[in-house]
Amino acid sequence: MVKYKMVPEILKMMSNLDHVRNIGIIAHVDHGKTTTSDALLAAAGIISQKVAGEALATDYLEVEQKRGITVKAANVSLYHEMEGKPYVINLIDTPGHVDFTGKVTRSLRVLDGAIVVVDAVEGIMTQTETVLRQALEERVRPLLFINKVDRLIKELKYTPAQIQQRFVEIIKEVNKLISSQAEPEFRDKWLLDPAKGQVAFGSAKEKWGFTIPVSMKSGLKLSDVIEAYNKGKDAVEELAKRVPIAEALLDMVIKYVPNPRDAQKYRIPKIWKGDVNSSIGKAMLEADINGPAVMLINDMRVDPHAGLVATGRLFSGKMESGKEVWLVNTKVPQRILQVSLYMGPTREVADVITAGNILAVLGLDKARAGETVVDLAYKDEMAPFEKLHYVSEPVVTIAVEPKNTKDLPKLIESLHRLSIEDPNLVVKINEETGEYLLSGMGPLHLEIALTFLKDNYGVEVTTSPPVIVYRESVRAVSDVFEGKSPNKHNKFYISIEPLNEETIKLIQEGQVSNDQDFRDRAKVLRDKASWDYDEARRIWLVDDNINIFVDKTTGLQYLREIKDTILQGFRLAMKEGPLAAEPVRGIKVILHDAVIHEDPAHRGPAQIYPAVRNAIFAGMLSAKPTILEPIQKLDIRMPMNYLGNVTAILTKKRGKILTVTEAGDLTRLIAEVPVAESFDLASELRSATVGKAFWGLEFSRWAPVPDSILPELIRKIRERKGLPLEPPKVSDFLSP
Amino acid sequence: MHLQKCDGEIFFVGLGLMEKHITAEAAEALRAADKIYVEGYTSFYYPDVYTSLKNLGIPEEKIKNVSRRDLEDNSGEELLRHASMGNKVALATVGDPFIATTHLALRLRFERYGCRVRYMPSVNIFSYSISKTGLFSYKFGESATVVYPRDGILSTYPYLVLEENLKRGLHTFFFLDIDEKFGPLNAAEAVKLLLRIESEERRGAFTEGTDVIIVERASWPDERIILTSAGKAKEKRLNPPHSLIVPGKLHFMEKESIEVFRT
Ligand SMILES: Nc1nc2c(ncn2[C@@H]2O[C@H](COP(=O)(O)OP(=O)(O)O)[C@@H](O)[C@H]2O)c(=O)[nH]1
Ligand SMILES: [Mg+2]
Repeated sequence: MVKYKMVPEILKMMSNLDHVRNIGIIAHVDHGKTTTSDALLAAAGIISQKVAGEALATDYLEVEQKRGITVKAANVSLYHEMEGKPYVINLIDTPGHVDFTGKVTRSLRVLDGAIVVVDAVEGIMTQTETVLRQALEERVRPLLFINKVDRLIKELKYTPAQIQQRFVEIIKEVNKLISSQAEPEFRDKWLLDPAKGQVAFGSAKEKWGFTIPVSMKSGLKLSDVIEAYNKGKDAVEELAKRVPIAEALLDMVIKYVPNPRDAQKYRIPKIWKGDVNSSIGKAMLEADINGPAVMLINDMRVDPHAGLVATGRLFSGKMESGKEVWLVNTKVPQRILQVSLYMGPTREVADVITAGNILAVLGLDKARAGETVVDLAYKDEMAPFEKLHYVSEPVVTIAVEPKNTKDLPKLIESLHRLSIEDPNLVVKINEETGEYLLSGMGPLHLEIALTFLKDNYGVEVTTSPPVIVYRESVRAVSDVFEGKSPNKHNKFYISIEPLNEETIKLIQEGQVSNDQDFRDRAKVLRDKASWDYDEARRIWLVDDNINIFVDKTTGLQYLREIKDTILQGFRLAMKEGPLAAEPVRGIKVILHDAVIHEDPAHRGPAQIYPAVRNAIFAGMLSAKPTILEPIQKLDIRMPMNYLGNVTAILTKKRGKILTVTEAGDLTRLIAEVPVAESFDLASELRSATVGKAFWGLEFSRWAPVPDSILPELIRKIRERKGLPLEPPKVSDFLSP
Repeated sequence: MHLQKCDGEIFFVGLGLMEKHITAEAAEALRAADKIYVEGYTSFYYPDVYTSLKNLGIPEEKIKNVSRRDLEDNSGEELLRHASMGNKVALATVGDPFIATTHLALRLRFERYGCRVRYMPSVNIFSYSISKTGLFSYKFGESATVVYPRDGILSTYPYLVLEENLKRGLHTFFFLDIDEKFGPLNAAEAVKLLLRIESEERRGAFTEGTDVIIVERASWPDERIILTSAGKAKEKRLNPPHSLIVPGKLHFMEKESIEVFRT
């Protein structure tokens, strides 16, 4: 039942962290994250007296029953009593799709525990593995909920022994992951023991569930559950009353997820890169309410009434309206206009919120998800939780148009909001056609964005077929090429090399970035990516597309004055490469020497941009240039006898099979398939397995397209863009 | 592109600052040319480049306007192609074709291809300003262009040039930037930019008290020459195009000659 509470009551609980838990739910797509969240909210949501008083209670309950209310809230706070004590449990939204990897890590940072939901039939899937690994990396304690147990009964007609066998298999698999991924000091403590009530079994949809201690206490046996299903709907509802899933899960959370203060003691040293012995560090370790205010924002949303709402966790100090704070990444001061706590999925204004809790604030309109907010007085001492690095690498693009032209302003507005809420979505206008282009991390990512557009903003759109965004790169080291400015008075001597895999990874992870001390960066590159230290010290720019510009010149006059112009020329060249005007990825551009006209009138951007670009393009074209395509990882399980059919489809689609293993009665196959070939993959797999297979797809990596299809692909992209069909030659960029 | 050896002729023609500056030699070359490319900032001309060419009896079809940028990009090739086919091609420039331009690169390229290249000099803003103010030409040091800030960077080069010249008592001539979007840099703005560089470099080469000479609308009927302090110059309402001179050590006759422009 929904509880009615007054704000002061909740605030009082929040001020004693023993009564607070911060958790999230993580799951593979469709395993039941949303259904579980809804079941928890329905049973244990709190709503304020105010909302109730405004006679919204019935509406609220109606809405609540509508699936998916929790999807829209950044946080939902739940109220639960255990052994006579009251608790506030913050259920923080985690993205349901691993395409947004940065976002998952970010939300994990504000949680102390996570309920891993696993479909009893499908078992552990790629995304379960990925997110669980990420949770362990952030020292988030995992608990397990084996969901959809009703399917084992209704669809597979399992006996109690078979069901039990299935549970054992899943728990074993999860424990295997924990013991191989968790750090030694947590591994043993965190291994799941079902006898202690660290695993729940049930059905989120039908709202029943239990842990072993619960079943012992209530005398419930698996055969009773099967019997309830044999009897019918009423008996199942009765079961949900006898062993409500919310109670099982929330008891488990309160018992095994540490309170925020205990959690911060061991989590801060892991998730925060600053000095834990500093005054800020100590205050966070203790969740000290008298320490400096430090908040990590994990979510930014646009509220139609309130504007930009920042949700996050306060790791130390107090937050109140009027407070002057500093955004560590954006490097601007801002003032808090309002602070609020969550009551169920809605926000309620509060005077003060204290360390360890989840809160929402207004007034931080310059912040984005991932930002670290600190008391203004500590602006020079605070290290960020996460260095915001805008490595967003769109993979597919669609053009969107409102179904109803009247909706255009609404579409523009909501696309803008979407891109604030999800920095991995890129919105652009095609200047020539006036179309709105939406780019994302995969076909699924865009699909989700469109659904969101429809559900949250009521905008229906028509879309163009998806277009893949390729990348251009090189596979060899080029000679040094001379690029001349149009007036021939400026010359740049440039060579090109591919970046090694380690460097690319460091940039993706934000370990190597632009706003880093150049000496630190050089050390990281030397130690982890075998760079020459002196060369690494000479990096001028790490660009948004994962390319690096290195200045190896010495003693050039006026170079400083045109540095930014050179870099702008470099950025422009990286935006549209020579082969097919696709973004360039993973190259190192080295400036060896230059001739610079002394008079600034003859070395403006109009001279420098083309000179830099010409040398870069000549270099790229002579360094075994290629096109990189996005590859997806397919994780599919099916009955053994369909393996042949599936393999045949994958072969046709340039797929590469990585592993085939036994998983219970099913065969599990992991393969790589180019995104370009996977648009109709789902329907083909479905028909080839008569619906008996289930799978997940996620972005895996960029890979060079096979040489055999390279020329044709280049021609196709150029044709679509209205470029001359033949790509340019090295000589086109060399001036006489 | 493969070009055969060039048989034609290319004239680099200076048009001076106004119609009456067109020399007899230049007029002859322009009339003889099969094609005339008019280049540069044609609006800085009195009364108007096209009217003046028409007054010389040149048919409009022969004239093609090219921007300096385009000349560097493509039209240079076009000129070369025309000349290679045995034609006479003129590149007509306001002022003198080789003062404050980068056309030497073009000339050398045309010569490399074996074109016959001829040069018709004319009055240009540089020599005109020197003569008009009465400053001695041999006392000028290096010149430089004061440019608009680009990509957020203000070039300190003109300041460095000024500083070196002043050390040796030499005068400094500043060309002023012309931007496709913002147009010609106003002398008052140029003075502000130099003061801004001074506020960063702080070596006293250019202060509010420094005297500057502004040459405004050289050789137009409303031409003005103004001698004033930088502090006053930056507040002046002026009408471009301009050039700017910072005098060095003055001979007493130079001093007498410029003081009449003091305002
Ligand atoms: N049979 C059954 N279906 C469920 C259960 N929980 C969720 N589902 C269904 O599984 C599908 C995906 O659930 P959802 O909560 O959206 O998964 P999410 O993608 O992890 O958020 C929906 O059709 C749900 O109705 C369950 O316990 N039993
Ligand atoms: Mg969901």
